Amino acid sequence: MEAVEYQAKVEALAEDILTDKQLAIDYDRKRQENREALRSLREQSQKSKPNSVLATTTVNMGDFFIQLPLPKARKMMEEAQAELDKAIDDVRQRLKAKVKLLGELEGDEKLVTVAKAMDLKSVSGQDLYGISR
Amino acid sequence: MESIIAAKATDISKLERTGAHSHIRGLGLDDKLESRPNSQGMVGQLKARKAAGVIVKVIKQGKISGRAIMMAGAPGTGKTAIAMAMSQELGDVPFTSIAASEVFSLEISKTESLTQAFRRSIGVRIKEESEVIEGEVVEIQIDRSVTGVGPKTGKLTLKTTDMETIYDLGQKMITSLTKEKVMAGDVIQIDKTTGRITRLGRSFTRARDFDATGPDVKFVQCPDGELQTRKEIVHLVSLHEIDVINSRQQGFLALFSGETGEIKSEVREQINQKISEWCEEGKAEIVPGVLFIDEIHMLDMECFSFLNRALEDTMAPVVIMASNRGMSRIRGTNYQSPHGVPIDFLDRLLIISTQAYSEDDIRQILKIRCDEEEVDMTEDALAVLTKVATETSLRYAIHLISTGHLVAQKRQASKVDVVDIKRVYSLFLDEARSVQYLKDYQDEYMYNEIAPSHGEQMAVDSI
Repeated sequence: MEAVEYQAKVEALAEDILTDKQLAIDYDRKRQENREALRSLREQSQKSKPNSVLATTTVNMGDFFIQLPLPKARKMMEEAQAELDKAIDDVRQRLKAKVKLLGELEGDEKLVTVAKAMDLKSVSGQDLYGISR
Repeated sequence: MESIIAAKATDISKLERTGAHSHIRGLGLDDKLESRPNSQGMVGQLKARKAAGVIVKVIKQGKISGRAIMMAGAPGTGKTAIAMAMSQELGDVPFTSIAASEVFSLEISKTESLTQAFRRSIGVRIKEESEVIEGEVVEIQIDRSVTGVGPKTGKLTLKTTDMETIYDLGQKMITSLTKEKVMAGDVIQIDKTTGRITRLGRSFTRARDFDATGPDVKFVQCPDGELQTRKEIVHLVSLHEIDVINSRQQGFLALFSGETGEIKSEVREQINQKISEWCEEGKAEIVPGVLFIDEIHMLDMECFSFLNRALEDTMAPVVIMASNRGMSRIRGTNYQSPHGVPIDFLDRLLIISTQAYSEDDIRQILKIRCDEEEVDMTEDALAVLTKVATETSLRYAIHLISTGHLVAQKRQASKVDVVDIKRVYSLFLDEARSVQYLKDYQDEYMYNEIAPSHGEQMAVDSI
């Protein structure tokens, strides 16, 4: 019975990890689309006079379209972009923890050492090369 | 008419040389740390292997550092073999192997040489991370203004199996792309922080674009997943490498050329401090390793005093030494001491002794070497070879394996037989017969001044 429970736990965790990976991909897709939108907004605002009533753009929000003034649309996009970046970071953190847990459950030593090493904070080349300066 | 001879390029990137200890894969212990009689290339020598296994386990747990272990035994009893086996078992832990005579050099002092060897055996684990955009190029479009002056503009379409997007290119990116000669169908990687572009290869789906491609075009799969990922790479560098990088301008080049010279102690102290800071901040992890010093009796008195002190340091690796001398003179003095090592130094060591091999052990070792050198031998030939090994030495018998194989090939036989062994035995002398020959014909040798009455073979060392 314990074996079945253990297997179920491992499988559930693996499923979780795969869903999170897919989530990261979807977030990134949205992020790239946002980025393209921001760029086209920037080009549009260069062409028209800012703060003019005519400076509007049509934004697609799922099922419907909204006409918004350019600065407002830009602000909305930038906020969405920041939120997406944060969401992706969160997903990655969770993913690291889950992979470490999976390694421990499966008894895969190599995976555990790699996962533990990933917890280190990053060091840049300048840090390493500039110790004696 | 001459035929076109097709030339095949062979991949020699992996040249595996059969060395004296290349058959060793590990210590051959079971889960309870008991040695199996014949396992992973190691035969016999059960007690020494078990002791080595205990030490490996404690090293892996990271619980000892600055300890010294000595392997003492007659020549040909497996000291270096056990050290090799320990390095295989330790895996990731840094393992440096030196011979004590390497310490003496004209370019750097003995203490510097030893310090470098110590620092080479301590690893530091660090992580490097970067935001990277990786994808297959669908299309590159670069526009130049009509007049020819002014900045170029461009768009780059990248895709992965899950998504596709368009990037607007700035001036610098356009220059890098043209310099790298990136084309549609290439799989590239752009580092977001440095802006560096790496071509990973060409996509399989675009392999049929051209009928003939150059020899070093690599085909890779279109990457999957996100376009923009964070790549994290973990490196294990040794303290010595960090010393060299920071010791002077373009220091990292010295890593490859090997001429590091003396490194100032201020630099080393700064580095020690920085690494401790990083460990506290969670940026680095120290991995203490193993330093193996063979022929430890070749070190002189000053080196031993230095070692006494160095082993007490906080960042010291585990030092394993090997010695095959009995009661002999310490180099640099006139005092006799066990193993050629001062007694106060001996006191700090854990000593593992190795015994001579039994006949059955020798037979199994010879069998393993035959397999390793890919030589087929009959049972009788193996028995004769074992006899030879017990009477002369194990190493001499191992040498007879490949030479016997060549002699057997000359007589067009596939297996080495007794007659081949007898032939190489007569062709190549072992140590005892060579000395006998010397004594019999010594008048005919040049510069012969040794009196004929003594049977001593050890030459007096002259420093």
